[in-house]
Amino acid sequence: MSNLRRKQTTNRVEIKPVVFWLLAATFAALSGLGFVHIKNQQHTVGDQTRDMERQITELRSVNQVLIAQITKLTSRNSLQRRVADGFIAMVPIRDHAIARLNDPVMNGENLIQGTASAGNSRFSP
Amino acid sequence: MRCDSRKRIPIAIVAVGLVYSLFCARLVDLQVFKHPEYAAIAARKNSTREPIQARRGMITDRMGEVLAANIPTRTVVADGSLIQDPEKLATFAAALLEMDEADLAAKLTLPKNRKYVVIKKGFAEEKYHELQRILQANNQRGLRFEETSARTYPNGEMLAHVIGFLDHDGVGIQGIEKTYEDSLHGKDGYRYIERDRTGREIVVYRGQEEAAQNGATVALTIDMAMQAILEEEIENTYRELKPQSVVAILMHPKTGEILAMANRPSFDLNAVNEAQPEQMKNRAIINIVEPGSTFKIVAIGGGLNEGVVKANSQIYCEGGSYHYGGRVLRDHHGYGNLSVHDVLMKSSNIGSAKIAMLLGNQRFYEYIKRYGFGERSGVELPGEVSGIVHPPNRWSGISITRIPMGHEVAVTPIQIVRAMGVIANEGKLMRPQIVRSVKSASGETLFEAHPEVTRQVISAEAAHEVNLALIDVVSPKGTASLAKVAGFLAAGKTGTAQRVDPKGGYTPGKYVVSFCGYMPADNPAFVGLIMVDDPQTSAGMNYGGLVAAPIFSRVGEKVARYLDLQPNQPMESEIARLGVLPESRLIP
Repeated sequence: MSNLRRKQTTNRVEIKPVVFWLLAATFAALSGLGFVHIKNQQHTVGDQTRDMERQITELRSVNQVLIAQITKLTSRNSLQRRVADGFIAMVPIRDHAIARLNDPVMNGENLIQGTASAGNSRFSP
Repeated sequence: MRCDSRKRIPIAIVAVGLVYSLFCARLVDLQVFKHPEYAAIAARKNSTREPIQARRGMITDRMGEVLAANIPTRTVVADGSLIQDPEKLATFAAALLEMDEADLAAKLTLPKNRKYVVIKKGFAEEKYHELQRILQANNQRGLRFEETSARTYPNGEMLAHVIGFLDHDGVGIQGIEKTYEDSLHGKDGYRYIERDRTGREIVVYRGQEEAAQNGATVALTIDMAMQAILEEEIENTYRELKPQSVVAILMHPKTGEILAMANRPSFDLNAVNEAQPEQMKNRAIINIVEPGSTFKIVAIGGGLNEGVVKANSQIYCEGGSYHYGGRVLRDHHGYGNLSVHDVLMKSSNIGSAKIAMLLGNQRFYEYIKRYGFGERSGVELPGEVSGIVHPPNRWSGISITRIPMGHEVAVTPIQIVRAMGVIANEGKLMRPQIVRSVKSASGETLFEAHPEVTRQVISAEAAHEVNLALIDVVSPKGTASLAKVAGFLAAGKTGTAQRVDPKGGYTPGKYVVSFCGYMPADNPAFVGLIMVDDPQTSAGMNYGGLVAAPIFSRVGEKVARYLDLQPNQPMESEIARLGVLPESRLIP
């Protein structure tokens, strides 16, 4: 009788809920870890984004500086100064190197040649 | 005991439940009811609004030559919450920031809640890289370097008065930089960011963001090649004749486009702090002067247009001395009868006065206004003045004899050019334009200028008659033979007026001499004004025809070469060889 009663009070281990809760706990744990991992990844990508942005910004700045320097060096003022200093020179185009469609126009007073395209055949001899 | 144990369990449950309920209630209070308050505190503590500077637009000439550009610089900002040791930080940064170490340390000694204190503006990009490397190597925090830019003007003095400049906050306060401030500046953006305790941005917590819209590019009607020609000539004049000022303008008569505008004295746009106020005045639009004889085109144009005279009508010029209203009006030379054509060619004061008298006070006044005097021209430059033209009810008894020769009125140089443009443009008054187009940073055209006819001042026929007379002004018979340009038909009018004394009356012995003309007279490519205020020449030389006309001639010749204009007039040698003036000489 007592054996029978003991048998009756013994609890049977229910595998199904144990497995369910274990799986649930594992899922929750993995979800948590996954969340942390993704969050870390997000921060890492964020840092990379920031570094990339910084590099782009710096490159753009360097480009801007170069453009400003080129603009300054090729400005009319700068070129005129260099011509005046003799650093660069204007080389006259020799007459034989010019193919003329019209006769050249000469200023009678100082023999300065007129514009290249200018023709004035009306007053040519 | 059994009873006690049965009671204890619910009591424990209730107690634990109460504790948890209290925690839950507090949690709900914090997360729901006080959320905005704590979110704001958190935002204040960690989040900052980072401005994203819009890049200022460029200014170019009509060919795309850059006149105003930007150089990237940094604004150095101190963040008090990140600075650990101001003295140590100053030790590393002072030299590159070009600041006294003690002063910098004092500036960097900030309370923790001061997160934004500007230490230096316009810090060069190259130095920024070096300083950042030094600070990182020495593990120093607390300085941020915000992107910004400084304006640079590659041509220095050239076109300085038109381009203008910026104030310390980067806002245009002169010239086109001021007029087109809104377009050039663009729209700054912003970004809300959070930083970690080391000051590094946490990118994943970026908040609201708006990208910057870079400024538009403003293209002027100015042609820098012509500007350079004009600048060189007036610089030589300013150096040799030592006048108070020189103003020169070139305008396209058919479109009203300003092709060049130059002033002396001038200043370097890259060193505005060193410039004196007198150097910064754009006299082309703010100086008011008596125009002198260039004003004669008003009375004669009006007289021809109204039909009160014809080009060949004879005007008796009183032998050079005309008594009117108790005063004597004189000509430089005594003339008898002169045709209207010759009145202009010889620049007879008496003849002009008599034509104005034929028009009558009211009609003459209306023509003055129709030519654009007494009103702003509307050019897109700040500070333009309208000049002074009194209505007839404020005229004295002799005003009708003085105003036709350019006295008793005060006009701006741009008004003179514009009025001369009426003759060069078949009687049409154009609105002067200095901006050709405005294009957004993405290349979209926001504005494009088109020629604007303000009004038809005189008929094309009347303008043609005045044109013929102005051509002869530049001939050996006229008062401005030195303005001739070899190979081309030029036209124009000289002006010589006594300098107005700011205290009233005239300054004896001081003159404002000018020449305003256009060429080629048969199809004008430009109308130009050269005005020299008080040139230091001998008394007999102080005339527009002797001082300003030769400058116009030199400018005209160079501009003709640049524009590749085809000469259609005989050179001196041709005339000498043929012995006659070809017929075409007289046909514009």
